[in-house]
Amino acid sequence: MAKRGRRRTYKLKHEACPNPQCPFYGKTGKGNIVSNGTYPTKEGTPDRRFLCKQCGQPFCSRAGTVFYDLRSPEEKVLMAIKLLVKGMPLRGVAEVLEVKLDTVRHWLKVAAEQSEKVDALLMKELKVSRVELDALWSFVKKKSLRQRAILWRAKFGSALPLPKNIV
Amino acid sequence: MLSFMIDGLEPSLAAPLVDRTEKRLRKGSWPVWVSDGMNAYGEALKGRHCILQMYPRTGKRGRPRRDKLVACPQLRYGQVVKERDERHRVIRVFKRCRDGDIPLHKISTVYIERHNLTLRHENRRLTRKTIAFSKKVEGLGDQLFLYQGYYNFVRPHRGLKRRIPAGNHTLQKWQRRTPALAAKLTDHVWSLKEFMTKKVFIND
Repeated sequence: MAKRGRRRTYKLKHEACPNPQCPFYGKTGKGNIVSNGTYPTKEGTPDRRFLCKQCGQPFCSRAGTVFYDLRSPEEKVLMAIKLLVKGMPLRGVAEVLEVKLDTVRHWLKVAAEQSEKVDALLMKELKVSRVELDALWSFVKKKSLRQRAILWRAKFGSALPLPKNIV
Repeated sequence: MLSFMIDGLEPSLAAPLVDRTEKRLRKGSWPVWVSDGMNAYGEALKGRHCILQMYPRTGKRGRPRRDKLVACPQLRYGQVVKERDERHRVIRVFKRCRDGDIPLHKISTVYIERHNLTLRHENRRLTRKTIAFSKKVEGLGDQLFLYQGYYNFVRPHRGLKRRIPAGNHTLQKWQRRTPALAAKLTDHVWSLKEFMTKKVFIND
């Protein structure tokens, strides 16, 4: 580490190469990551960019998180996820945060993918004494195109059960 | 919450649901399985944990007994069955042990029914008699995946709180715990930001 200048506020040993072909993929503390400048974000504060010396893969500090490739500020995305998780409908979130409905849909999608990945990574090898199984009924609207052409106002509901289980 | 499945037909779900749930459990552990009166769960469990019962030749006359598949002796599965009359009102609830030997007080679906209520309460898509239901199955799946992770890691569960022993000189009386913390998968309650910025590498 350089002796001169301002001390780094981030730790290189906590970063890992996101390239699956790299031998150091996902491994921290191997000394293969160097900082590779910054890039501007919409929030005004620049974000770090890194480089894997082993495979030459550049990546940014947001790679692998939900904020990767999102243009909106992190606080706004987090607020949207919080609202969604507390039961606000998509249109409600779009209206409150003044973003488009499709934007919220996209945020929900990336957040769900992240949640699924983290959950699958950590929720395993569980020692459980009892597993309960049950079904939960809900509705998903289904619009049949042909019938919609005939009855343009008719709406069809199909009941879908959602079995899931808990410890 | 371990896993969930979405599909149109309930009985066809049981096998993949059990499959998905077992992936989360420790190998070689035999928990007590409890479900409602739908037999598909039991069949799915039996399909995964069965052994071939062999009947040796007896030497007597007649056709020998055919070998058959029976449930593993370690498999324990009970049901809580509701009996209904012609107007679909519940007359009677009884518990029964389908496989293995389980004390009857251990057969109950109280926790999952309460969890269903939590789900309905916290997800507008699942609320009854609302017009904010899902319009596409993908949206419902996304919402539930997000909620599953949030429930397990971020949201402290009031039922899991633990009293901090007196004399530790903290102002807090109770430690708030999430299901993941209670299961000792993490050492703290995650913030939503931490959960959303956790980098996952597949060969971890």
